[in-house]
Amino acid sequence: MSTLNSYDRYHRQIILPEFGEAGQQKLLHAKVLVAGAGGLGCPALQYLTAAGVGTIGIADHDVVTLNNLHRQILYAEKDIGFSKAERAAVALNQLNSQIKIIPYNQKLTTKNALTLLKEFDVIIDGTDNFSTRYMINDACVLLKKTLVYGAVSQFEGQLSVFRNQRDGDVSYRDMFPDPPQEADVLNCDEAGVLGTMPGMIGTMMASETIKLITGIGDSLINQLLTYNMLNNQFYQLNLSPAKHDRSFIPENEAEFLKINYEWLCSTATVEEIDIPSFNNFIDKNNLDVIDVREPNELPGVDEFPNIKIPLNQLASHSAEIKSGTVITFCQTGKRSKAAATILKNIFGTDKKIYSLKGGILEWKKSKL
Amino acid sequence: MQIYLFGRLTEIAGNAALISDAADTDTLIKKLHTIYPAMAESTYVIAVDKQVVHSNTLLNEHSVVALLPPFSGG
Repeated sequence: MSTLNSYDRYHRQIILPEFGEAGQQKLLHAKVLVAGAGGLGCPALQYLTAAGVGTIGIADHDVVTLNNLHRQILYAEKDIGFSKAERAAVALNQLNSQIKIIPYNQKLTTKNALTLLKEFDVIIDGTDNFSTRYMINDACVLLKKTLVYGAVSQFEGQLSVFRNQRDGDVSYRDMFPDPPQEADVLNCDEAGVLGTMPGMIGTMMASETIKLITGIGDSLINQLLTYNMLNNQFYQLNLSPAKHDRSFIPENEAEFLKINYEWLCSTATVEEIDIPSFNNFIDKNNLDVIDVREPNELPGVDEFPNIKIPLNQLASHSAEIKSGTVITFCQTGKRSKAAATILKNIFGTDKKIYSLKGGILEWKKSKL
Repeated sequence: MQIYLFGRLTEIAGNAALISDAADTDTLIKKLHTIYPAMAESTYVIAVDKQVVHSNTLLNEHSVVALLPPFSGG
């Protein structure tokens, strides 16, 4: 197709003074990876394709299902049962045959993420689970790739840009240092979502990506924007680096490859210890009991030796844990589970790691 | 003082303004956790006057505190 046709296709954005032909050229030379071709990924893909981003990668290992169609409006009924990445590529090619669209019908894992992400300039995270989100975040920090982040829950959405280029640039870990357990935060499958919600956030993710590439406007770098559809409220916050939280991010590719992100976000593998077993343990040697609560949390514990390391400092202070058996505790046994997961991730099978079931509140109650 | 809750936290505590007096964020959080124990088990980030804070922060009667949980949905 000739340049003239290209000019015609993008005419309405080229005539924007801030955008112009220079902006169009920047888009044509840009490479964007959309991770997750679901509720957020679909609208992002559609607008980026329409706008003329030169190379677009689509990473998704899922197939289209009937209950996707209310929000993933890139797909049609005939696509049900087929690969999302591949069906999305077909539909997007029909929208714009002049750009390069590359489907990756594979699950993003630590093994393939770095190689794939290296091929692109901007990464869009439209995935639907914490383990993949944390992995993508850490990979982008390692590779210094800009990450456009979006997430939704029911009638609310979040949006941010993690530039990962300069000192002081924040990443997802500066908001939420340690991964929540998947079970603690409901996803769209469990909590429900109205189709227009990811539609809006995904469209805004495409806008932020276009702004980043063309250099127009103010980006959401180091800011978090939230939108509530029910009351039409936008809320914009400034993010700041949380220094110690950086220690969660693997320092190099070899370390990244070692992290089991699914494990990090699942409670399934954490062994809980009940109060009678815990009481048997207390007098044993080669045992470290760790209080992972914040310093000021009550009740205080002086009935047995314990080391105080708040959950968010655990990874950076793991060297203080010397014994072969470790029991973590918190107020009710939930944070200590997350703590045990973090420690398992660090120590692997070198130490036996347990979390006190019911937490210190239950333990104190049993002593009354 | 105004307190804004987001996501699942609104289900735990409702959408109403909650506590009007707390000298700092640690005190506020401790009070909230006492009133709404489910909140103590939730992950969230704290913002004071639209700035995310990572350590105890002084509050005054004009402070606007927001508590935002992570979302995973895509």
